[in-house]
Amino acid sequence: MPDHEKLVIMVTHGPEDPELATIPFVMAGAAVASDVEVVMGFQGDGCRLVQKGVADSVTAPEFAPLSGLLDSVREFGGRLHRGRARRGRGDLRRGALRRRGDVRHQHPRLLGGDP
Amino acid sequence: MAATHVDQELDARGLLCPMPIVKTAKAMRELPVGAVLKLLATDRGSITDVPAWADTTGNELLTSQEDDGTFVFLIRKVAE
Repeated sequence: MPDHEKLVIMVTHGPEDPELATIPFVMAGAAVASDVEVVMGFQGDGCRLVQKGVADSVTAPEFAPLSGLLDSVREFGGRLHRGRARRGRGDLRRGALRRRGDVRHQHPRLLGGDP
Repeated sequence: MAATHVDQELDARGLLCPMPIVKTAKAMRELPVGAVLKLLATDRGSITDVPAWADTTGNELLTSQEDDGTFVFLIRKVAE
């Protein structure tokens, strides 16, 4: 494998959907454990997962609890970038990002490479 | 055939995906090159996760077997 692999994962679901909130962390945990550099971006309801204490209450069937996964990603040097939490759901429905371009504007380093 | 010498045993029974390989990666950090880790796991995902992890990280999966619902892996650390 190449000396250095990177994985960017966007998280758009929050505690109200434990399975979809947890799956990105499962991917991230497996990746950091496999020497892959991981960057996680949080948007919409996903922003709530990195607010203090919120991850403690999120558990999806068949997966490790979210709080332990979050700790592992951090421990292995995964980088977490939180966008702006917006009211309600639906901000990230299909086409919303392209119309508003808000991810690119909020996190130009994530999508545009290293500064 | 002589049994493989085990330098450390990691009990990941009861842990769910992907924690067995996360714990394995942590344990491997502390071991010297050439050391052998014995991993015990009950998560069925470990059947595919552990070989994939070993392949990706360049470590050597020596053996894998199931023993009464527990998956037992012997992994040799190949490189830092």
